[in-house]
Amino acid sequence: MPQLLNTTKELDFLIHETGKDSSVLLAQAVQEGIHLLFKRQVTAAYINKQLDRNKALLILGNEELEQIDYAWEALEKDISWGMGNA
Amino acid sequence: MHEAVFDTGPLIHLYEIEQLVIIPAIFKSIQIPEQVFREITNTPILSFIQYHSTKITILPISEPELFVTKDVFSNFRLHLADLAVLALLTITIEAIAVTDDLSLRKAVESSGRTVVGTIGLLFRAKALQLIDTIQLRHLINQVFDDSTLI
Repeated sequence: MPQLLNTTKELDFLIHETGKDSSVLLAQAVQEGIHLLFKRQVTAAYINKQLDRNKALLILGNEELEQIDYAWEALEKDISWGMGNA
Repeated sequence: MHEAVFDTGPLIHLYEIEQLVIIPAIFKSIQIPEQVFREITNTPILSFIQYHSTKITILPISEPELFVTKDVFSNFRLHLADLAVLALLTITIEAIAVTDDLSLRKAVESSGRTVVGTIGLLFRAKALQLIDTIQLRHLINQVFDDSTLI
């Protein structure tokens, strides 16, 4: 398992390694963090059938959507095996 | 009861929700490739494996076996431990694979073998009356909310 550093140490590392100002790095972190949260919410909406496949495909892309579909299928198979139906 | 070949993930996830105990109750025998075993650094999981040493076996997979497996599954993105699980499955014909890794799962399924993950084990624990419905619901929530499964 990878070891997690605290946020301050990670930011210090980035400042040192990239030579970028902390304000630039923080702005980038917010932008990427929001995008990650947005995609997570889109994924949840797709799984809960609140968002159709075509819209999810536009936002997440084919590879990510196929991965989500496969994970969902795996979950259903797991439950079926667990209940003794497989 | 099935034989099982275990990957690292389910051991970690079941430890995180304090349910390692269901493993020996579900399976007749459990095999862990040495390459998977080496990834486990968590003392309670290592103690659990040692405590159940009559049922849990650590098996070495040789480099030639890993290379052959790598060739067979060259279309999949797999790590060393994944290859070791696949190699061990070719030796243990009756065993099912236990993993939460989707790439490994795809590779196992492509060879026509059965594969299950942590969620499957929890539902099987319920079917075997090791846990009740309320516990199952609570544990499923715990897996998704508190463990490192997702």
